[in-house]
Amino acid sequence: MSVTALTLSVNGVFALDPGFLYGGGGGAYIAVPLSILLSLFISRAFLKLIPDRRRPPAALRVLLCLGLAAFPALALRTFLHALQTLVYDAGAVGLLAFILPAVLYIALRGDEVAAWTSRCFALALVLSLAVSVAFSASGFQTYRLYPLPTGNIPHLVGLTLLCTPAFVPPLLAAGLAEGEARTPTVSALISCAVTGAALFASALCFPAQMLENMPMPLYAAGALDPRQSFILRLDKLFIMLWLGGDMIALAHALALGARLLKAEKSEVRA
Amino acid sequence: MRKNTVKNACDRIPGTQKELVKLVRGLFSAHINNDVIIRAFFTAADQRLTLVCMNGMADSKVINEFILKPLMEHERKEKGLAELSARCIETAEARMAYSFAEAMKAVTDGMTALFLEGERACLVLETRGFEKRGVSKPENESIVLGPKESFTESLRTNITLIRRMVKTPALIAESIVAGGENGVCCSLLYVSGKADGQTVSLARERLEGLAPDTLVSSGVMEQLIEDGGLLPVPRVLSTERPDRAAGHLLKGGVCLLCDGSPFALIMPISFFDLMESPEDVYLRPAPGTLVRVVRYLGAFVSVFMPGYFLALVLYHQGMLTTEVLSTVASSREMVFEPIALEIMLLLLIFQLIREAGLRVPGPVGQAIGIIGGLIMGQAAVTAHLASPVVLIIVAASGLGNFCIPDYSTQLSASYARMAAVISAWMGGLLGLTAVTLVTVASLAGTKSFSRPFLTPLAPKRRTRRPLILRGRIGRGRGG
Repeated sequence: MSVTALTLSVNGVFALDPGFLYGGGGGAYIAVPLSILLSLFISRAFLKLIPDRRRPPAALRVLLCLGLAAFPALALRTFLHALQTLVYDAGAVGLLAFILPAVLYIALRGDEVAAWTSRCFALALVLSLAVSVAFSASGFQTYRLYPLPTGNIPHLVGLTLLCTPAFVPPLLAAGLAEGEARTPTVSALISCAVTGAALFASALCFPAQMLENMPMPLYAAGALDPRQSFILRLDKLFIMLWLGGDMIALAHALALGARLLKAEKSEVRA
Repeated sequence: MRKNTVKNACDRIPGTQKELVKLVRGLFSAHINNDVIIRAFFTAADQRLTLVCMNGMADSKVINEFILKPLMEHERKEKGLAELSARCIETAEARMAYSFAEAMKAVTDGMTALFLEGERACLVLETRGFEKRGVSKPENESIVLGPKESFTESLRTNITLIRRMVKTPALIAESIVAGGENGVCCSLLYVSGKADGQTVSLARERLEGLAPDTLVSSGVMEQLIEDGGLLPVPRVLSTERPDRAAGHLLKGGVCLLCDGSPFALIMPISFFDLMESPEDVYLRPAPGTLVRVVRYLGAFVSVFMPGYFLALVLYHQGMLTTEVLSTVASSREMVFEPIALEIMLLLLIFQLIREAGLRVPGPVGQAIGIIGGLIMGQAAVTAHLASPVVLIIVAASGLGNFCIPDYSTQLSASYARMAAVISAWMGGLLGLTAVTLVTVASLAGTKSFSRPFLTPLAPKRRTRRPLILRGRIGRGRGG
């Protein structure tokens, strides 16, 4: 269960391009969670259409593999950009030299191991997000939510629909691997809460025009607090924790994709 | 009567006393080895018997009073050894053996082998009486509350210590000779109906598949039977406490006792079993929880604090407040070596002091800890080889390491600590994150007798036992 929720959360918070999310105004905090729920229904409908879940069509498996890996990889791009601008004065190759071996190692151990690894980090990730949101609270201003997204329903609907490719593959893959409908539902609900909280906190701290060019708004939000406190300085640690989450999601995507290409069913719950 | 299963003609028990004596003397090199005793005698009914035992291993008083004397005074001629055993022998245990190798193996174990002229079998009698250590206090797992008994080198004594605590007929003590005929006598204990059948059969299979020449004690056996992999963390728990072994058996685990070893091997285990102290169950929930939380914090600090500190100082100074930065800078002003090297050097010195303190016996060993810790530390700071801040970080890490109850796990935590320091040196928090992920993934992918090592956290398993917090005992909960 945890790795699906982790993948959905990473895709929702870090993978989607800020220009795409905020180009038409605010509302990502509504559209993205709605998109996750919509993706849940879409994936359930897809699963019902597949005659044999153990051997899905080859074309679907290939698309699924691509979709599984694409968005965690996009999130990795976001993290690399953030690391280069905010943390290290280093090239991408140097950073990838640390990231890729770990991702490949976990992927080679298998999707079960990746899922179990994600369970170990789940609490730390949720806590780090909660702390980030809590300490950005001093910068919350409701006026930044205006104009409200409910004033532009077509844009909201369009954004919801356009975000679904980021969430359908993980839910569909989880349904194929686990063989049950309940597990992706809980993961979807958890990731709705996580992405909604993160995006809503960002929207309260910055207007949409600023968010368009901001890859890590929660990081910047933490810097708004003028107090000199050790806990407030843990922003880079939180970036690393979430990067770790993305690495696990990417490793799981690679391993699960490989398993799906071989059309083997996973036997162990995540 | 047991069927004669001797297949090899050379392994048949000789029918005549002359042949038997020649064979025994040849096997034990009796012309230079005086340990073996070969006693030929007659019963009162003129039946010729030969007794073979090992000097010092067999109890001569038992042999004299309960074997030789009754047999020599027995006036009736019996058909065979079975009848003689039923009418004359006054030892508690007596069994027939049909192969010469089996008989001689029993002799080397301290039993006595009795041969009757003309019979191709022998009687193996329980006469073990070698000197053995009595039940004493545990040396490595001493606790304030709870029993003060520990295992000894005698297999029978150890089984008895466990049976005193697990008073159920379902407790099975399966005898296995690990490593074939000439291997180590072991006993595989489990509670029938509670233990996982797969674990029991896996343990049995691995024991029986061991090569005989490599086995000395449970320490070697532990490495040979545990699941493969290069991970330094133990996948089998070694304990010298009978109460700990009994507790594990009652939870459905399996315990292996080896003759000659004062440790029991417990399997399957998880990472959380390695972090449990035998004293936890003897504390109330609140103090027990506090102790456990401190232990986990200590382990976390031990592994990550030096690397985290190094990452912050080298790459992420903005994460430290101005006061901390200035303290670190001023304390390191005269230290000539890079901070990474300083940390690694101090960690190495800490390990040296720890090992020296373990190897040197008695009060001198304790003094070395004090000398090493205080005097060398002070001298290192004065000589500008180390800074006080780094010394405190390394000392805190070392103290955290001692919070880990299991000695093997303490050593494996040292590996993880060094990996964290090196990765932090090379890549700051990014390197630390990558190494942490790889370590956790390695732990998650490891198994202990087919049970995932991070169970019940990953994979999730419903359990009434809390992982870190100490639950209430009774009503089937807690522990």
